[in-house]
Amino acid sequence: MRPGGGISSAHAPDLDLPARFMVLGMVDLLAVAVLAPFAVPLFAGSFSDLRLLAFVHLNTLGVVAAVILGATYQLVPVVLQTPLASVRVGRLSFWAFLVGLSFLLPGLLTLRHWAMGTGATLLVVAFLLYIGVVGTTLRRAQRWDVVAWHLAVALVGLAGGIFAGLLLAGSKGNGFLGAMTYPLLGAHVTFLLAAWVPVLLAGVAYRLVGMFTLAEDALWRPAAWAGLVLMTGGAWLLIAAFLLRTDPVVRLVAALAIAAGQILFAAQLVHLYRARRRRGFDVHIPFALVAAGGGTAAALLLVAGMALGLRPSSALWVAVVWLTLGGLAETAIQGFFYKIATFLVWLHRYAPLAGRQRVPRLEEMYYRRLAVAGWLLWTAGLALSLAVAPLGNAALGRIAGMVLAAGLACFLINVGRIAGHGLSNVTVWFRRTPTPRVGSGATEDGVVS
Amino acid sequence: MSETAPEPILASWKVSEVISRYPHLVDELVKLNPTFRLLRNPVMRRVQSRLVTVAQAAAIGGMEPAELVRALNHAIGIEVPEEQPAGQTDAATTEDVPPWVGSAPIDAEVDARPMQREGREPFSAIMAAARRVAPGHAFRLWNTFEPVPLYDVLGQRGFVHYARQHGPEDWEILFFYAGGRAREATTPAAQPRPAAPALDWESPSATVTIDVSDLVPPEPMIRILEALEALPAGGTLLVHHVRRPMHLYPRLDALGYRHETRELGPGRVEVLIEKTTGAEER
Repeated sequence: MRPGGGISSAHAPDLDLPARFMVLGMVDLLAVAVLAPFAVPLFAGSFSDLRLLAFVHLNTLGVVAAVILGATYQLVPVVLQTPLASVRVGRLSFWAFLVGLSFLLPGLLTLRHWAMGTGATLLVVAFLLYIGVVGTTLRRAQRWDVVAWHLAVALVGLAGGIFAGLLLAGSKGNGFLGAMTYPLLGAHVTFLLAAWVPVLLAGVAYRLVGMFTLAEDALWRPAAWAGLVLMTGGAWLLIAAFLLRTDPVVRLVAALAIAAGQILFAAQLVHLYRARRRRGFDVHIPFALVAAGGGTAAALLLVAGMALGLRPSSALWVAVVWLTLGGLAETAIQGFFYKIATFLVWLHRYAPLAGRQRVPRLEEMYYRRLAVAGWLLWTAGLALSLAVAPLGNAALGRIAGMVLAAGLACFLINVGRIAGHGLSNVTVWFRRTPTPRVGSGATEDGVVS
Repeated sequence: MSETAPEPILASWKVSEVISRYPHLVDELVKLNPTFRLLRNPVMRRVQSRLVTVAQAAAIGGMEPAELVRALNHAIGIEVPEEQPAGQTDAATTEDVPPWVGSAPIDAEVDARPMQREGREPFSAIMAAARRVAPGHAFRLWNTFEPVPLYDVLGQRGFVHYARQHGPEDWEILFFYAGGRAREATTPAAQPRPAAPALDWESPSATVTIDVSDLVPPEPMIRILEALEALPAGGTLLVHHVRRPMHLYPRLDALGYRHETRELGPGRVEVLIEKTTGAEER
């Protein structure tokens, strides 16, 4: 971005596209809050417990993937200053995603293979449509920077993850993967939790944090590039190590690279916040810092696990997965939601009124103290839940789940309040009137006369 | 109560003027050509109809201007003879390719086709692209029709254009920016209107200055629009900012304010906004 160049939302798609994914993500987050007191105690047991598997996929697909898909449909055109390749296909991906999720989660819980297969297939369709739309948009972009590369590389990671997931879902029925099941499971998890989510979040954070703290020029670009290479290189090396069953040293090297990338990302965030022009407290900052800390802690635990040569059944892997999912992804989602979603609602609801009448500031669109309380509870719940697996203490898991649920409740109340500000526009977001074709000689049916 | 005779509609009238005098003609326009269905949308009607003359609307709809003028006048009870010339459109497509086509670097590209098919207004995206074009460079627009009204708007900002049609709903238009305000057009048909005078950056008398450098979004927008609201008509507002306020520009355009931006270096931008007389009524 050249000096002085702001970023415009002129290329952003209609808000109904990101909004429907966001609504789904928030509904699923509500389900996570309700289920957490019952699901977190399962951390103390086997990770192959079907209920735990369903809970993990509710988090990965229902919350993290839904929010990421919606957010990137909105952000990619803005970041790249290129219109989305197809909003219609984007909408189609939502319906495939929604129906797929509705089949997969109950299928996982009840071990109904037909439901799992149907759900997984529809989810693969949804992700492929998403990859097609975002990939085409990326290909059309004229200016590529470090943020665009993060998005592109993350997209490749997602493609690998869904392909591995499809194979695993298919194998649940007839076991055709045989001895490759665990290596492929490792690859699937690594694709999604190392090659997709953290890379995408890092790229998005570089742009958003810089934008909202007025510190865009303070970004350490060489460090951002180095972080991208380390995170992605490490993730792909680890995937190759799983699939090829290489020497454990290779896995350790890969884990070290991932950890180094995460540390660089966390350092970059701290640097951006230190360089911010406005020194005041903003509630997204503690969320973002906890997210970066969660990602770093997950990566360091990964290194420890690889160095110690722990078996796949070790409780440590539960902590690594949960730190990445809850600690990094869901914490970052909450923090950025307070900034981005609130700003978008403000832009549509209050920008036309600004100057003519008093309009609220972003912080006035939600309960600030509740947001801080939510952050405290969520962080405390994360810390408690990490102790559940190593201690094998289900009662502690129940308490941790309740604290996490309380934190999420604070967040979701604020989500409702923010949405309330935009309620008058919600009908507009979801109303799709037949679109007239504007063009020389176009007829009612769009046929050129 | 006496009834006054309706005034005949001319090709040079803005569509907004037609609709404001004869509101029932919105339906008539849509009946005449489905292209004009966008006018049923109040927002589109407010934005688009102010920019387009009847002759230009005819060109957009693929009609002869005389045909549209005749039909509109017929709808208000005035018969225009067939042979009466109703005005000419600014046919901008040229057989002679200007020298800058193919040689001027393309700074930005806007594909407005998907936006139009989805019923979205591409004007903001086009103007945002135009702002990114450096002197001596150009930007490319893909459109489903020849955007005749846009030629005037961008012509006033110093752009000349070259259009070519690749298919029934596939137009490629190149806008070249030579660095000045008004430029000589590539063809006589594409002459831009006389340019509005540039804003006077040096005038100290009427300028109110505010600094929004330390404010985070959306507070700069609030502060600027509040300052503009308090400003008398004809006054100017100088804003010190850290970046181009991209979300503000469409608001300023919609409210009818004139504005220019200059970049003084990394993290230093100045925006000069003039509150035109008509702006405060919007």
